[in-house]
Amino acid sequence: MIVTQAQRKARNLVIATLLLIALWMVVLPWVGGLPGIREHIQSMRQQRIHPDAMFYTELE
Amino acid sequence: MNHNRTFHEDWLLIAIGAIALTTFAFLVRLETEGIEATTKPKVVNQAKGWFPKLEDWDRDPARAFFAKPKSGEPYFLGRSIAVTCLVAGLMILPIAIYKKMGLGPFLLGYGLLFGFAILAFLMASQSTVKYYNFEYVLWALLLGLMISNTVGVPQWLKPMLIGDSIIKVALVLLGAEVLFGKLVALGPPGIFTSWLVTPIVLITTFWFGQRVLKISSPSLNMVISADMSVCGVSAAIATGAACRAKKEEISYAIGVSLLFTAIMMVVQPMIVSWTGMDKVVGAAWMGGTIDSTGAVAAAGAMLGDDAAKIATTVKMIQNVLIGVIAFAVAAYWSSRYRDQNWTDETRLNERVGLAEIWTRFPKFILGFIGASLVFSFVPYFTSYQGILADTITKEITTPLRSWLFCLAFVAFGLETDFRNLWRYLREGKPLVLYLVGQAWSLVLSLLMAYLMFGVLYGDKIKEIMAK
Repeated sequence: MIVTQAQRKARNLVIATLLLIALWMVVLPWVGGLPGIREHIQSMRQQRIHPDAMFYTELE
Repeated sequence: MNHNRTFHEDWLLIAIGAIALTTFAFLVRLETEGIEATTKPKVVNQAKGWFPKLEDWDRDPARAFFAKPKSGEPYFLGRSIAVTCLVAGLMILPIAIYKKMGLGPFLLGYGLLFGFAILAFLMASQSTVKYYNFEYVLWALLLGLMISNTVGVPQWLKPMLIGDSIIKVALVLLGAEVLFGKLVALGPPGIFTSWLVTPIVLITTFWFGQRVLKISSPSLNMVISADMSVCGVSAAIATGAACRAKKEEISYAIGVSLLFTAIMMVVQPMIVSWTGMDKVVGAAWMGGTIDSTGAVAAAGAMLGDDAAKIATTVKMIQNVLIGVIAFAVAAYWSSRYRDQNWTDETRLNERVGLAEIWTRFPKFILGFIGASLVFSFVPYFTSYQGILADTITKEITTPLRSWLFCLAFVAFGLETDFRNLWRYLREGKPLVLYLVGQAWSLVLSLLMAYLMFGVLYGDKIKEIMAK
């Protein structure tokens, strides 16, 4: 079967999307459940600290 | 893009930022009637909750769309997201009109960019991602890259790829957050640790990149140096715009910075604990060296409440430096390089006059600095310990400019050919620059933190913290 360039591009996008979904819905939640990481997340949550703050105005 | 066009467009972008800031200033007021001179007045913010920050989630992404207030029931963020879409759209519309874009393509293109921005924030709010400092700009960029490097960007979307302009409007808003009053928060130790070491590290790292590593692009060198020495992503964006760095260069610098910040955020508190270092010194050291502000707070918190306060305050003082650095970089670049292709070939050997520097100067920086000066020094904003400026920036402009940054980075990703990004990854020299600069910063900051927070002002700082 001949695969056109457009089909190949679309296939690549579908693969990339599926990879992202798997990463965010399966891998990252699993990593977040590992003992050391879970404790870090819980500790940050309890103290209302946002490590993703880009500037000081984004801190609570 | 020629200089003439840039000249006119930057004034438009400043005007958009200024109108937005003025409007927001009118939406927030103080209720001072009947209060004592020593008490703080009540702040009434009519725009409270207009621009949302998605909540963090572990396994169920839907939770990101339900705000969890400190008190009361969770509520759906749909209305806030719609308001953000409207306000950000109204701010970007004049740029689209200036660029002679039709209303139809604008609405379609903007809608798509905004959809991707929501998705980027959703990805960034996953708890593992969020609590290890992988900020939304990375995911906005990734989503854009995913489209542009697979199916490609459709013709109708291309006029909407105006990330450069959107980012400049966001930087004018960011200017209002650069409050010079914050400089005195820790007195001389804070200023010395943040304002003396940081420029030294920035200049020497840039020099090292140019003279020793001979990095082919001075703008890439500057963005990495500023990103590593000042305050991570925000510094990369501000200096990148000031020296007109390529999108790939800003993206690369941000990627490297976020990766190493995630590592330093965990490793540095461990080093402080293992070596038995004074926590006050350790906190100041982390505040001066970890790139991202949020990661500094997280690292400080691992050493205790006092350490978290000192680390974040040192970082906050360093954050303020971003205004001076961006202005200095813009002035330096305008006087040293001939045109948009900032390479060794276009470097000027002769001195240029002020008029020539002014012609080349990226004017949006004036909006950035102007907003900072107004919010820092105009009594209307600074009265009652700057409560008005703090409310406007923390509750309104900060979340709004985050959405604008996110939209800009989606556009950057859509414009970026992954092969250009891969070139920097493969080259290795930019990574060496980051590592050498960071190592130098770690040494110099430690010395200054020890001197200021350990030897000279250690007791005074501990006294302040005890109160």
